[in-house]
Amino acid sequence: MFETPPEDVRLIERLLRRDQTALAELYDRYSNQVYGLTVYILRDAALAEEATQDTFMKLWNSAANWDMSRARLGTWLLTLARYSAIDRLRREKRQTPAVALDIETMVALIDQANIHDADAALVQSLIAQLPPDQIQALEMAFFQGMSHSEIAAQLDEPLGTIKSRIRSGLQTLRGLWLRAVQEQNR
Amino acid sequence: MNDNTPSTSPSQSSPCDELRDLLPAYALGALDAAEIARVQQLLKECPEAQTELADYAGLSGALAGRAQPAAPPLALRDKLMAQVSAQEARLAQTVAPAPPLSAVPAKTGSRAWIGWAAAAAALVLLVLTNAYWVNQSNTARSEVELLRAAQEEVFALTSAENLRHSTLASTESGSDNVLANLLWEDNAQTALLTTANLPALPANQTYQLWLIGEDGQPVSAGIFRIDENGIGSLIVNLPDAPQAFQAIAISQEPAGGSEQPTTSPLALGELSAT
Repeated sequence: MFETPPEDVRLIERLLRRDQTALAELYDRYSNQVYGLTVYILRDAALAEEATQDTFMKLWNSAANWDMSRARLGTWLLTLARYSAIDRLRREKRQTPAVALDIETMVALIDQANIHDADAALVQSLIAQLPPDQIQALEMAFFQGMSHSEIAAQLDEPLGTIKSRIRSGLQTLRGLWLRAVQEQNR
Repeated sequence: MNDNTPSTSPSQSSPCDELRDLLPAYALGALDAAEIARVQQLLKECPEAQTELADYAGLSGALAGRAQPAAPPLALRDKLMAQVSAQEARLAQTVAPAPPLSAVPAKTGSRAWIGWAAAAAALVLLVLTNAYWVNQSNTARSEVELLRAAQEEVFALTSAENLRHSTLASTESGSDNVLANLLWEDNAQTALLTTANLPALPANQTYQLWLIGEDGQPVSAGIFRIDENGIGSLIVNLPDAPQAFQAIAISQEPAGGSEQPTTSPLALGELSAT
């Protein structure tokens, strides 16, 4: 499953006691990842700064919502960041703000996964092997919070085509990943 | 696999095949609300699909790695810390005074749920009345004192300066001398309701706790039963910080609870000023 760094747990305990220096330390630990992600989503430095600030304010105001038995702090925080940035992006585009799958379910899903931090580089190389149109559909869903039908409308493609692109994309990626892990263990 | 058939079509596939088709998009967050509900239903029927889902979720999550970390401008850290300090200073100021309550006279004996603004207005008076009653009633005093002592113990056990509580007072619809308390720790997502002296209910009735938002809208916080001594308790899962709500109230509802209160509150307590 996953392990939560004890340092994160201590920082959150301090945060819950309203220790502002703990927030500063968490910012130092995670702001590069959070900002990098929000820039990637928003493609705009000023909006990304706002989304980053939103993310850490959410951390300050709702740290009690982090369930360490279900998610690493980093996963939770990056998912907060992704949802904050998507929210801003969709408001800019005047779309309905919310990603349909709620953030808690999303976080729990990601952290129940059998993929570990150590596999990150491997998974990135496997994603790069997918056909570009599949990567594009996966990215639009993940980074822009778009549903099947929104992606189909934006790309002017049939809904079924988009559904099968997303399905095949992740199914292929899973196949590649299972094979790679098998080879590693051999 | 590359056909254009919508993957939700159950025509030729078993429910678990249908689920398998939907899982990648579910893990990615690309389904709409109706499809999400369908997947969550099918997951109960096909528990073996959990492993596959966990894989898709992890692989989707790994997409975040396509974004390279980047250092934000140095000034952002100061901006964030200034915003936090300002917010905390504001909060410290707003703790003291009670919120203004609009005074609408409550109708005596009305079975309708009295207006929530009115209920909140009546609250201040009721707290005073209840305190008076407790002081006057000799018969109930020892019992009340016992319960108070028990509550003190709970307060001590749960330690901490972070502990908050709100005392609910009987309304004119409720029986005299209902004791009810909501306890929670700062930032906690759960709170503990303890009650005493609520009257016994017929089997087809239950007690229900309500959180009343700043907009006066009640939200159910759960139903509870009392034992033969009139003692009840409820662990409350809070949808938001308790301070985000104006008040809490207990009403009597049909077994199973109601979406919105159908009877007048029996006891009320203030939250936002705690």
